[in-house]
Parts: sequence; C-alpha cells; structure tokens
Amino acid sequence: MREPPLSNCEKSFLLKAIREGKRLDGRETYDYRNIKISFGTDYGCCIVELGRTRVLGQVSCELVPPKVNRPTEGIIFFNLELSPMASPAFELGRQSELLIKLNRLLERCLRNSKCIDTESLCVVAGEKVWQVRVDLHLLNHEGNIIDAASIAAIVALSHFRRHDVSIQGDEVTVYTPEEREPVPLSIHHMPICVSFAFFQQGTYLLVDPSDREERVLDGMLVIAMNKHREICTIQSSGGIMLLKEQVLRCSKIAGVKVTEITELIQKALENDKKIRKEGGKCGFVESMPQQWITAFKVEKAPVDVTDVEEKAEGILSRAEPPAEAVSKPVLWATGTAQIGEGLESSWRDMEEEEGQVEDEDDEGAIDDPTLAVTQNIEMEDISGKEEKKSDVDVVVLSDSEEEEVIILEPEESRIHTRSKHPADSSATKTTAGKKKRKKKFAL
Amino acid sequence: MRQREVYRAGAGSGCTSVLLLLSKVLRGDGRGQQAEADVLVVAISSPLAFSLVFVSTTLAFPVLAWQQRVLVLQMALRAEQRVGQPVLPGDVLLTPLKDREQEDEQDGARLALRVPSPTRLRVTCGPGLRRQGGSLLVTRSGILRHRAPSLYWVDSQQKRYVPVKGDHVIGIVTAKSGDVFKVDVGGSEQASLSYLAFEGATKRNRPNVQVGDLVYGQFVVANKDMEPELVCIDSCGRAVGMGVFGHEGLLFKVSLGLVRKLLVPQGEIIQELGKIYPFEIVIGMNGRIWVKAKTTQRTLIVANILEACEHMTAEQRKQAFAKFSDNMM
Amino acid sequence: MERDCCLRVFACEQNLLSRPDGSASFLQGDTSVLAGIYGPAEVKVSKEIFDKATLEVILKPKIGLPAVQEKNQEQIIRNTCEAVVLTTLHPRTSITIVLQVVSDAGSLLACCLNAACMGLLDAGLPMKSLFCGVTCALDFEGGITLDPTDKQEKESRALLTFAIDSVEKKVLTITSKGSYSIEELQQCIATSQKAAEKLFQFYRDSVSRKYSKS
Repeated sequence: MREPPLSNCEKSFLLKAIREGKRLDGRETYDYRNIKISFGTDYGCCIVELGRTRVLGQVSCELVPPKVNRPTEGIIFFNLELSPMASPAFELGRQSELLIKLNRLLERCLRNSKCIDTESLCVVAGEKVWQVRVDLHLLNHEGNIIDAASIAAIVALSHFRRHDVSIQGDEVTVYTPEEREPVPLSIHHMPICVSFAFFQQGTYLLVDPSDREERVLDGMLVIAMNKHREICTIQSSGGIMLLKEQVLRCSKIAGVKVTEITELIQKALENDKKIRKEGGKCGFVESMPQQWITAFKVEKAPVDVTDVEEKAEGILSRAEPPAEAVSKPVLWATGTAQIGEGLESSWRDMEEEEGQVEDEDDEGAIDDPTLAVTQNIEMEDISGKEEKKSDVDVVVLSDSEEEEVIILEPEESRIHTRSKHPADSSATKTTAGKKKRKKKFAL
Repeated sequence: MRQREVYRAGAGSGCTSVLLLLSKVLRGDGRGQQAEADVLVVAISSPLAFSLVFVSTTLAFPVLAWQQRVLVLQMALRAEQRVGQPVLPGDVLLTPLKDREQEDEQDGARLALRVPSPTRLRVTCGPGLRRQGGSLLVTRSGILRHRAPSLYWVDSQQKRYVPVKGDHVIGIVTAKSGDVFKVDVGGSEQASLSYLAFEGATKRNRPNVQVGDLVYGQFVVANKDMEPELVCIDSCGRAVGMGVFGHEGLLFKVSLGLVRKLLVPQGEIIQELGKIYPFEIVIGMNGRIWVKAKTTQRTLIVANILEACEHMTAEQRKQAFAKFSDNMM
Repeated sequence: MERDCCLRVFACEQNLLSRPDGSASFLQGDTSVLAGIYGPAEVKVSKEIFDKATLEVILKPKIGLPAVQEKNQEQIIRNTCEAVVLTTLHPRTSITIVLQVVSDAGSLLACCLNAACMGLLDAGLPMKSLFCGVTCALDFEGGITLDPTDKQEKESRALLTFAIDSVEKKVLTITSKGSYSIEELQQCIATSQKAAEKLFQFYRDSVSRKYSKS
C-alpha cells in the first residue's frame, strides 16, 4: 500500500502557516504534543503516546555468554520495528532506510551514551551475562517516531526488573519472581531524543514535528540529552546548513524539554510503583479512558454452564457411534497387511455411478452383470500375484490401482473377453464403453 | 387519474450534492378510488447513490431499479422497531406490515393509496444491508436508518472510502498518463479523469492541471469490477462547481460519517459555522474537506471545529458554537 | 466435576489509532491485543485475486521476530476471518489485519480473534456475522476452565480454542493441544457457546456506546 499523496495545497498551506508561526494542531513553535505513559502488568512493558504517535516498548532478558572482547559486560540489544499497523506505507520485515536510521540513532542514544550499567549485568565473567533486549513497536505513525521511541525505550528499561541471581562457588541460581523480588537495572541517566524540524533552509524551526510537517521539512536535527544537560547524541539530517547559533539554541530548548519529560517519566514510574506496592490494579485495562464512548469494559462475567453436560451428552447420543475399528492386522500376502476396513475407493464409486447412469440410459437393468464382467477381466489380466490373492478368497476389488491396470489394457483383452462371453454381447458393449471412459479418467 | 409531483432539495454552496427527487405516479384503475400502484423514486447522491425505491403493490407494474437491490418481502416484522438503534453484522431484520399501513396514513397526502394485497412489500437495501431470503441481513455495524416508505440503510462511521457512482469527491492528481489524469480519491484504486472531462476542454485546449492539484469531481463509473472514472462536468458539459480548485486553503481528512452528517439537507453545522465568519468549503464524499477563510488562523479554527464535531452531540455542538461566537465578538 | 466458568474482566477500545481504517484493542484480564485494519485498500499485483479481496493477517509478537507459532496462528485467524468477511464485495483489493500482542497472560489466540473482529467492525468491512474466540482449558480431573490465565494454561491437560459465529453460534474454528475425549470436546463446545453469548452481548454494548452520540 502506499501513503496517501500530499497535495500542493497542503504543502503551501503548511509552509504559509509555519511562516506565520502557526501549527495545524494549534501548538506553538516550541510545544511538544501531550505525552501519555501507561504500563502493562508485566515488568518492562509500556505504551508511550506522543500526541497520536504510539509506541509499545517491551524489555526482556536472558542469560548468554558474553562477547569475547568484553567478557565482563552485559549485552543490550535494541530493535525498533515499524509495524504495518502504523502506516500503510510500512511493509512487514522490510529494512527501509528510515528504519535503519532510527535504529542506529536509538543505539547511539541509549547504548553508546552508557546510560545503563552493563557491568552490573555480568553474572560470571566470561561465561554468563544478561542480554537485555528492548523491543519497540511503532503502532501509529503521526510524526516524530524517534522521540516517542526513545522515551518508550528508557521508560521500559527503568520499569524493567530482571530475575535475581546468586552465585555460590560455581553454582549459579536464578530465582523466580515468587522466590525473590526481581531487581531493577541500574540506570545512570535517562537520555531523551528531541527532534527539531527546519523549514525554508533553516529559517523556521519547529519542535516535535507532526506527520504532515515531517513531509514538508527541509532538514532535521535530533539532540539526545539527559536532565543534567549532557548531550548524548546529536544528528543532523536532510543536508541543510545550520548556523552555530541555531544549534546552540536548539540545545537550550532540548535541555528544557528533556527536564520536563524526565519529570513526567519519573512521576509515571513512581505512580506505577506505588500502585503495585499497594497491590492495586495495574495494567492497560486500568489506563483505558473509561469515559470515552469508544472504550467499554465489563467486569468478570460468570457463565452459566449448568446444562452443558446434558447438552454435550445429548449431542453425543444423537451422533452415530464410532465405527468399531478392526484392531488385528490382516496379512493378505507376504509383504502386505491391512488394518481396519479402509474406505471405499472414490474412483470406483464414480465409475459405478456413471456406469449405472449409462446403463439406465442404454438398456435399463443390466448394470450388475456388466460389473461382474469387468471384474472378471480384471481378475484375468492381473497375473501371478492376483491368482495368489484369489486363493485367499479376495473378491473385493476396490483398489484403485487395479482399476488403473485395466485402463492401460491393450485391445486384445477385449477380444478375449468377447470370446469368453459370446452370449452377453450387450454387456460387453457396455464394458467397452466403460473402458473408454476409464481412459478419460486416467488422462 | 395521473399525477406527478417532484420535490427537489439542493443544499449548500454548490459543493454539497444532495438531490432528493420524489416522484409519485398514481394510476387510476377506472374505478376512481382504487389505484394500482404508487412509485417512490429517491435519488440521493450518497450514501445511497441513485438508489431507486419502489413500492409496487402489483407485480404487473414494471420494475425499474439499478445499483441497489429491490426485494420483495413476505410477511416481515421488526425492522421498523430497530430504526435509530445500533445494529451489528449478522443481525437479521424483517419489515413489518402493520407499520406499513400506519405509514400510509401518516403520509396520506403523498401515498394515499391502499394496499390491495398486504403480503408483499418491496424494500430497498442501502449500504450495510443485504438480502437474505425474505429478510435483511446486516453486514456492517452502525445505526439503522429508514426513509419512508421502505428504504433502509446502516449509517456507520468508516474511514476508508469505496467509490460510488454519482458521488462528488475531492481527489489529488498523482500522475498524468496520456490523455488521462490519475487521481487519488482514497479508495483501493486510483480513479482516472480524462482531460476532456473539464468545462470548455477540447483536444487543443487542455486544462491546466498539475500533479498534486486538487480536483472536485463526480464519479461516472464506479463499481467493484472496474476502474473508477471521474468527470468534472455535468451531462450538459458545465462545470457546476467542479474542476481544479484550492491553490490556497487547507485540506484535511475526517470520517465518512462526519461528511454525511455535514451534507444532510439543511445541515446545521455548516450554517452555524457560517454565521461566525465567512469561509469557503468543499466537502468530498470521500472524507476530504477543504476550507479557506480570510486568514490562516481562521482557516485552522474552522478545520479544528469541524474535526471536533465528529464526537459531539447536537446539544454539545450548540453549546460549543455559542461559546465560540461569544469569544469572537 | 469442579468448574471455573467465569470470563475474566474484558474491555475494548475502538478507533484508537488514527492511521488504520479500523482499530481496536481488546483486553481479557491481563491479556491484551491491539488490532489495526486496512481495507479495502490497494493490493499488490502478485497477491491480487480477481473475484475477491485478498485477506492478510499479520500477527506480531511482543518480543523478537515472528516464528512458526505466530505463522500458524495467523493462518487460523485468517481462515476464521475469511469465513465471515464478504470478500467478494471488494474484488481486487486487500484487507490487512495487523495484530500486535500487547501482553500475553493466557488465552492469547482467543483474544487475537476478538480483537480482529472488533477491528473489522470498526473498519466497517462487510461481514456475514460476527465471531468471537473462546479458550477452554481441561484439567486432569476433567474440569473445564473458561478463558484460562497463563498459569491455568500451564497446569491444564488440554487446551481448546474455538471461534464461534454470532448467528447460529456454530463453531468456525477449533484448534487444540493435548488429549481429550469426545464428551469433553462436546462439553467444551457447549461451554464456549455459552461464553460466546456473553461476548456478543459485550460487542453489541460497545458498539451501542460508540454510536451513542450519532
């Protein structure tokens, strides 16, 4: 699917509005959209909404051998995915340029800034370390993916608790959450990305660009910063020339925004912690906006199942009893065996039906002798093996393979048949007709 | 006795496209009082696009119906009671007969005819309904709507547009190929628009249309099996408001339900908004709206109000508008 | 035979994403699935079917990349949807259902089915009937647990998931794990049909609520 096209009128209106210092959603130039953070019941699971852009974050971990060059450090792995849900333009599993750019930026922002103490993730040096995996899924794309993703990543990491481990000698014990309270990761600081969009070769600047603003921008500057105003990553894209003052101004704005966002994150984390401690309800059900008409919730619904058993019994009693299975294998000949009755060959069924139909058309009532004749031919044609079979008194010739043998039969056999049953000429005629039909089947 | 009445209701600014044509044909059967048939023809641009409703009490009367299904219901019940209520796919509706008689009394002036054999009633299914034997099967969730005497449809709040013949839509030109333009209308396929389908266009005198321009046009071909085709002229070759537009102004997208709400004849929303300050508006049945007011600020305000109307009841809307016009004063 | 015949708290939010044509998030206890639906939309030429819409289901796990299990579940959901969606009304188009697991705490497939159905409802795609997913767990004593949590799932002997249609309450899909008798199967079906009634009532109520302002 493709992205709906952007019309010329939208482009010119957006640029005109930006020149006048106005934005489509009524924000000021330096305003962020509303940020909403909600947590799932699992540790390390969160959904971050930045306006209508939505990112789901989940942190997981497992014990792995460390990298050879860093035997005492845990591993952190980031994976942002642009789900086809987020926009019709995103395809499943495609490594688009945008995706690679975003993933790289995230890694630089969160891994290279050393915000997570990787040494504390080491269990046994050179043997076992924790690998922390951060999965981020973009659910709805309304612009500024990177800011939303970086917030989601750091929130999920701060919310996450890993299993507790103890080492006694050579023995490593991993405790389940029931045995020992899981432990949080040690996080030194929280880097957060702030995006700036530049228009008209850097003349105009917007913070937190929306989807449509992103489609008309000339260049973008992303600054990752923590609340101590330390720049963790800076990236300029789009190939615009920025003045030194502009970059400095952007970093000042970023400082303010990061402080605000960090406060919000900490508040959300504390709130969730408090609720969990008190044993209150947490999870996405609780964060659903109950007052909205699009949302609806019902409490535990008991299902009346008193007559279930009777109903099931009723159905079963009405149903046919299962056929008695023949458990003993029957040995027909050396190398052959049969278990059960087997199903009637569908090939044969069809032929019989057709034969019957034709008989009705032609003569009317001679269907049974005809069949007998055909079976006779079959018996005769098949050589030694067949004779053996007849010794064991097999009359059922329902096997389709045998039928096929007769299909490829040469002309002679028919003559042979005729000589054998000279009286029953009408029946032979039908047989010939049948053979032709059989050929059709074989083809 | 032969009588014909035509009602025509056009609404709003040349862009709204609701045409209601009610025609009644009454035929006397020689006995003066009894009539053979009554016919109601309703042609609305959408959501029911040129649907023909037929109420025929005698089968001898010629059946005229295209696009929508006309069906005969035997001894039906309960659809009337569900009107105005939400329905879900899988619901089966039956049309009542008693109500039909009551309806005749209510619409006495228009349909002053008695039904000779009250067992059969022709019903037209609009969007979201299908015939299933002698009853109606709902295939889409939404509110069941009814228009006298027997037109039913489901009013739902979708976002994705499916082209319907006769609909007026806003398209974005995406490509020029040969003598047609490819236009994105938000459907599953791009619509084609011939360069001759503009007012005054000839082979020599081509219209000035660029990629990315907005066009307001009408579907002449739209069905599930063919490429949809737009035109920007009516059958007489006049533009009547269609064509390329919007070199300024803002285009935005809303749900199809809101568009229908805005386009109802004598719709309050646009009129009330118009009282606050003047602005230009083009509404496409495909959920696209273009607005332009004197300043950027005013354009944005109109756009935001319209978007907000989606989740407001009439009462809330009135309050919001009152508050807003007070602020503007 | 003891029975735990109670559906967990269930909740649903519709139209919560702005980009897809229809979206719904369905929560059953702590299990939560988000569905986004596009359609009838443009289709790739390679996937085009001349007389009906191409129905695609994408199930995204929360952690890591989709594996065989997800592909299997995608197929189950796709077949269930194919049975109720009137694809012939929109030939040469695509209907894409993207499901994102938000949290898995048991009865995940049932929750996926419910989210898909609510999403289809929200997108306004034509359907013959609705469907819902119900999971039953059979324990070693033969007791049936409806809508089991992940812990109950682990303790169970057999796990059966049904998709049930809303018109005749017939079974559209069965998928099961573990061994069980015919009697138990019939009991599970009967139980799920009862549970389905609750779910369909919930569907109706949430749609009524959504349309309460129009």
